[in-house]
Formats: sequence, C-alpha cells, structure tokens
Amino acid sequence: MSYEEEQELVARAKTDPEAFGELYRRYVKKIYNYHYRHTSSVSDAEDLTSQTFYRALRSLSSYRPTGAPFQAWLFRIAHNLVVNWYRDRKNERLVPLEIGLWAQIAPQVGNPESHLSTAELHKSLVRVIDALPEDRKTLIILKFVEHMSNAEIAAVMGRTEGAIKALYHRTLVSLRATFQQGARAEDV
Amino acid sequence: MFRRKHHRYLTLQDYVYVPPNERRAIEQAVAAAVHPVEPPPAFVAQLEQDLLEEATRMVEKRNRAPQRVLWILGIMTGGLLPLIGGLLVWVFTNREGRHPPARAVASSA
Repeated sequence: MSYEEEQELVARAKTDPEAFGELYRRYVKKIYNYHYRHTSSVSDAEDLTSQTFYRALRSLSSYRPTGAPFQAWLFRIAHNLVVNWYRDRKNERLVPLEIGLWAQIAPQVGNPESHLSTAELHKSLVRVIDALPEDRKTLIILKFVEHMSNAEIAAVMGRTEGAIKALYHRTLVSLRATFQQGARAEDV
Repeated sequence: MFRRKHHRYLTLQDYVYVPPNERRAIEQAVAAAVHPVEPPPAFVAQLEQDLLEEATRMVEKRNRAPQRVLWILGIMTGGLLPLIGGLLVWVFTNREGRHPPARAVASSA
C-alpha cells in the first residue's frame, strides 16, 4: 500500500469503524511484537497493545500527515506506553548479564560449526538483548524486527536521525564489548 | 581588538571503531535472534471486536453532537420567546397608560 493510499485509509478511519479495523489488522502483529520484545510477557504485551490501539482510536481525529508513514505515529504511541511501563518497573526489573552464558555465545556468533544449537544461541541472545537499556532495545526491535529506517526510528523515539545513528553505534559497541568479555571469560 | 576565545572541548567517550566483519556478525546474530512472534489469535479477534464497538460508539456520539446543539438552541430560543413576548406586552401596556383612553377623551368633549 502506497503512502497516499494509507493516508486515505487513515482519513476514512476517522469516521468509518471498518477502515479503523483495517488499520488495526494491518498493525496489530507489529505492535504486539514490539511490546512483547520489551516486556517478555504475554499478558503485559496484550495489555499494552490494547492501550496502544485505544489511544490511537481516541487521538485519530487529531492525526495530521507529516510525511512519515502512519506506523511511525502508531509506534510513537506504543513507545510512550513502553517508556511508562519501564518507569513503573524500574525497581523490579534488573536482569544481570551472565558472563558464563556469554562465554558460550561469543565464539558461536558467525561460526557455523557451533556446538550450541541455533535455538539455544538465539534464546541466549534474546536474554542479553532483554538486559539492554530501554532505548537501545527499542532501537534493536525497530531496526531488526520492523526493518524501519533511521528516519522512521527517529520519528518514533522523538530524536534526530543523527542521534539514532550514534545510539546504534553505541549499541553495537556495547554488544561487541560483551562478546569480547565473554570470549575472555572462556579463555580463563 | 576582539580575540576569539579558544574553546576547549571535553571528550566524553572515545570513538570506538567496529570492523565491518564484526559489525555484520553481530547484526546477523541479533536479526536471527529477534524474529517476530505471533500474538494469540483469540486476543487479536477479541480486541478487534472491542475496538470496532468503541469506534462505532464514537462515530454515533459524534453524529449526535450537531443534534444536541440544535436541541440546546431550541430550548434557549423557546425560553427566550415568552420573555420577549412579555417585554413587548409590558412596553405596549405602558405606552397606552401614558395617553388617556380614547373613550374618556370623547366623553369629556
């Protein structure tokens, strides 16, 4: 669907519930995924997904096209809810990085002759991504799950494109540092 | 003359170079690990139904809004008309009171 067609659908959704239903069907999986990747909980992801769409429905009359796709606006709502979710749980949620785990993962990345199964490796990587700060995790999800451009991610996170590039670089550096840390732990 | 002050910047963090092959390896591992998950179909269907009901309610409410304005205007106008009528009656009665009635003038003549 082109940008113009989508904007037409959004304009119709302001007065036509069926058009809103179409937008919902188009984005519900993406929004659920985004929340699930952040919360790692089905019930929290469901709750945040519901809140996102109810907010979108109530605010749709004030939506103005800005040149960015509609999903950037929708993800912005989802992002604000996720930020609140983290704020509410900042004392509860502390996932420690497992150095032993990284000692297993680090040599396997990019190595086809890995003794760890792919499923195990992915599971472990997800746990490590879970331990990243909220903004870095958001960036990883939007880039690798939603395949958004830096400009779209910037619109969602309310930052400049340059800031997103810098954040991405820092995220890669920190991931690499964790890999190296893991590799050193294995040597010892 | 003005002399430009030499600014000194504080470097907070050194730039760390990530070689392209390492960058690719990390990106591939992350991309493979964070594959999309499917939401429960029952949840998706229930939320869709709830949202459609809410959207229908909102549209009906919005459509009723002009009718409500007309109702309020009608009530206000309906309330004002007797007041205006009363005022007009009072004005005309007073005007008649200022002049002697026509019958009284004729009898005195």
